[in-house]
Amino acid sequence: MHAGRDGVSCVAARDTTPRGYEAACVLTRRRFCLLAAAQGFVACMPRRVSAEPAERVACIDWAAAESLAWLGVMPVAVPDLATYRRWLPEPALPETTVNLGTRSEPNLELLAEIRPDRIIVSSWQAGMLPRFARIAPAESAVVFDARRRPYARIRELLLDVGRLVGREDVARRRLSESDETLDALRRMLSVRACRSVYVVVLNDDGAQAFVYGKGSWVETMMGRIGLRNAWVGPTSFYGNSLVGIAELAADPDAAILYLDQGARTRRAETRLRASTLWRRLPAVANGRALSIPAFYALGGLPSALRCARILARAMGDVAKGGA
Amino acid sequence: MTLRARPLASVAPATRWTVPAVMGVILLLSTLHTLATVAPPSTWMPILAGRAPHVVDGLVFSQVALPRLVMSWLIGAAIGLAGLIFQQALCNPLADPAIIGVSSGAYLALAAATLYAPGLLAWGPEAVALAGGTGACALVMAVASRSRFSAITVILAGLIVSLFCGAAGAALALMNHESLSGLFIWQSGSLVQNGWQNVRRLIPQVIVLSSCALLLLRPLAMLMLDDARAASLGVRVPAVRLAAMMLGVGLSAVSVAAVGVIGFIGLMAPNLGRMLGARTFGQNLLAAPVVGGLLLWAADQAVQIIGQAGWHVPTGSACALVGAPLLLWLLLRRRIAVTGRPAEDDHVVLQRGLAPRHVLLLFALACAASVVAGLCLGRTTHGWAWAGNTDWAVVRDWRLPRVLAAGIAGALLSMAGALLQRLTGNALASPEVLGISAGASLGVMATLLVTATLNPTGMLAASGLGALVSLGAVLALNWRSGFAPERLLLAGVALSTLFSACAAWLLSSGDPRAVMLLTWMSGSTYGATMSGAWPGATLLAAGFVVALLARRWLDILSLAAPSARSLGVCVPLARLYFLVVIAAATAGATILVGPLTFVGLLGPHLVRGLGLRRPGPQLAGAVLSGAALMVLADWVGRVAIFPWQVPAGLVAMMMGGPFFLWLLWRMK
Repeated sequence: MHAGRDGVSCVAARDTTPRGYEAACVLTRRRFCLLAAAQGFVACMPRRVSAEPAERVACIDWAAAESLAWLGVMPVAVPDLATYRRWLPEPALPETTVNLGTRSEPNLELLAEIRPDRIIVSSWQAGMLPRFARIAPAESAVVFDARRRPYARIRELLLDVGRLVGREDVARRRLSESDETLDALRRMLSVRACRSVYVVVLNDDGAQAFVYGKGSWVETMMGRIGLRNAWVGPTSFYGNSLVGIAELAADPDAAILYLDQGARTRRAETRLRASTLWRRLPAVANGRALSIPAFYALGGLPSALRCARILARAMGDVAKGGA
Repeated sequence: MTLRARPLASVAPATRWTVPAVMGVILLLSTLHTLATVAPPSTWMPILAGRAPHVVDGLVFSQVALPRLVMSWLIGAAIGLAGLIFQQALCNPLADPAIIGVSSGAYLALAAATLYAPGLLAWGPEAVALAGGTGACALVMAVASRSRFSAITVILAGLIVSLFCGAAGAALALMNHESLSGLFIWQSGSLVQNGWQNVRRLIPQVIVLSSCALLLLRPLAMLMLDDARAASLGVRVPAVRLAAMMLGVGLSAVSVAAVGVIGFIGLMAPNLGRMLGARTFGQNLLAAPVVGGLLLWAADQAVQIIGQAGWHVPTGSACALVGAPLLLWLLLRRRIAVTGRPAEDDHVVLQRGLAPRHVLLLFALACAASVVAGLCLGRTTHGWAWAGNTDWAVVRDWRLPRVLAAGIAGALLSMAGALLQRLTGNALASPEVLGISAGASLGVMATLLVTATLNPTGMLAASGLGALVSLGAVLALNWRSGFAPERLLLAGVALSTLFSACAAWLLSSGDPRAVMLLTWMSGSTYGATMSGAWPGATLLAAGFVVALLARRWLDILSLAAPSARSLGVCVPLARLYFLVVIAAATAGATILVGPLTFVGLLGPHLVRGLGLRRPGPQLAGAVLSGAALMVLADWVGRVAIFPWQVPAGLVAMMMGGPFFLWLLWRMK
């Protein structure tokens, strides 16, 4: 019922949004897209709709946005742009990128005015696909799903967006480059002694922290550069867990790397400096607790590589400090 | 109307001591068990003597486990005492720091400070929380002072101020989600400690404040009498009440700043103290903190034991999960007696001497104007644009569904509010506080937790089901009382609090979907579709006609129940009839735009302020004014900070909240 109704409005939307290419072709693809969305084939969409490269892509999903930008095609519109620039600084988006407002409610009127060729939304917004599909063919980028292998998914995402904009070759090159980078980081770290590590975000109160574990690509990145995640406990759907500071003592040989999130981390540090427990944690006592630049742990492959570089550099510092 | 609870039937003297004793022993054993999982009992003495065999385990024992234990006692005692003081000062057995707005005021202040003055937080979060809590409480008191602090007014004013602070906090959180994630953890109330600093900070604060409470013992005890008699005994009632409120706010603010929002303990502890035989205020001054400490200790132990099994529930949310059903049970047991005065015509006259026709015409014009603005006037990347020279497709595809959804939902809520206010004779009654929208929200949240994506159809089904279940609960809970208005509202308050605790828990998990929930909770028309407009319009028409058919009952029901009965109306049946209309309208509006709007409160007041008294014109006026307000709020939300969009419910709250408080202030 839903697909039918939206199909009708999709036809109606055609004459109001003239395109550079054949309207009929767009229409069939749109219909197919809607059908697929309605039948739950959303995840396998990107591979099928590759008739011609899209040029103007609007990304509601940040992971898709940075993957696309990494291939040299800048997304025309991204939600919450200011925060995006702060959290995903590389590759930087141009000044002309349009801000769409909140991530949960991107401005549809504005999006319709921009007239993108293609829209990529986050997987948790898949329910809204038919509404985006009125503006342009829309698909969802799945990073987190029940299989809990986000690293595999962000690699696929890069290839998918590459296919979408006709730059599959660049995407494949980027993939092999990223493998080389990770191998190089691994070789660089192989001489260091300290191997296991907690990667955490400190909470303001100085008593709790979010720690990354299974189901997050942060853990996969650690493995790829020869580190071991010291956190082996259960995690949420998005691969992190809120734990007490004391639980970071479970592995006495591990280092603790905490993301520097500005004022929030400053407040936590102030509290922790006064804490006997924190000072006596093996990692802190031996100078193996460091703050690292923040990265976006729900991002795509560029964020993952940035995370790997940050971790490698920090572990290098840890080894120097410990020696 | 006033609400007085009969003195509680206290339990038999034998159980009076055995129940707390048994509970204490169980708690002691479970605490020993929890501590033993941290460090084996044989090492406790060496650890305390500073010679721990294993440094980290010893520190976890002495710096995490022990402070947490002491903290649960301290906070429980402080909140229990605060609750007792509030209840005594307001002669209201249902007052509580969370219910009278202190917690949400503190939350808003902390959120604003986190964003705009982080220096303040480093200096002292207690002061920030205290300022926010005091502000919110002062507002509630200012509103309630007009009705001489009648219990129901305090609670409703508290709920409105809480909703308002919550809405402002949600707006901040929506715009700055990443920076405020720490606040969500705080909002769900966590007792996790790292070191003794917090305890060391809290002990002197609690000691000073409780000694002040001791100093106020005699005058406070006199407040049990009514104000005139207390005054004749030489008590300066307003001064004592003010001092007591300040003490209560102080106690709740320091605990809120230390561990976050912990609800229901402040409500339960003094009531349980009374049940266990603390008859006088002086006795309860000792009993309430002890019971509060025991309760929070129990809650925290339960949370820790569940946590070992892999279920991580924040302590504050756990308290609400257990406390809300307890409150409902208390409501059932206590047979809260209602002194049935006829509904006062307590509203502000905005403009006299307008003919009802003209008022209705005015509302219709306002409605038309806001619809035209909502449809045609928008912003684009090039600035303001009239839809005449932009694309009509934009109007049809993006604006029309939202304007329709906003208008229909506003009309439904305003109609429900007008009916509810007539039914309860309470000017502060609004459909949001009936608990039906809270039920719908709980349904949506459950879907969010179970499924990975947010499917509009699924959300619709879930919210409909949630609304139905909560309607069933509200009906069942109030069947025996013949749908006495006060109990209806209190059951609604319990349901709303339960929902906000669950929402805080989900938000604290750091899940990106939580942002969607936050947006939906804020009353957004974003998800509106044309397919949702028709059922909504049908519901509105049906509800309006059904209510109008029984307008004679409406007239009679605003008299006291005995007079209504003597006029031949079966009061419970008539109440049930309107309750079903109200519930259906609220559920429909919640499905369309989410749970939070202010229109159900504001619309009826505007209508009555402009002189529409008879049920027919009043309902018609409420429908029109509600639609106009909500469409206007939706439009403002879309254009105010383009390309960002503020949910319509938030805008309505931000615009209507201060106006409404002003109305209440002027109410005679």
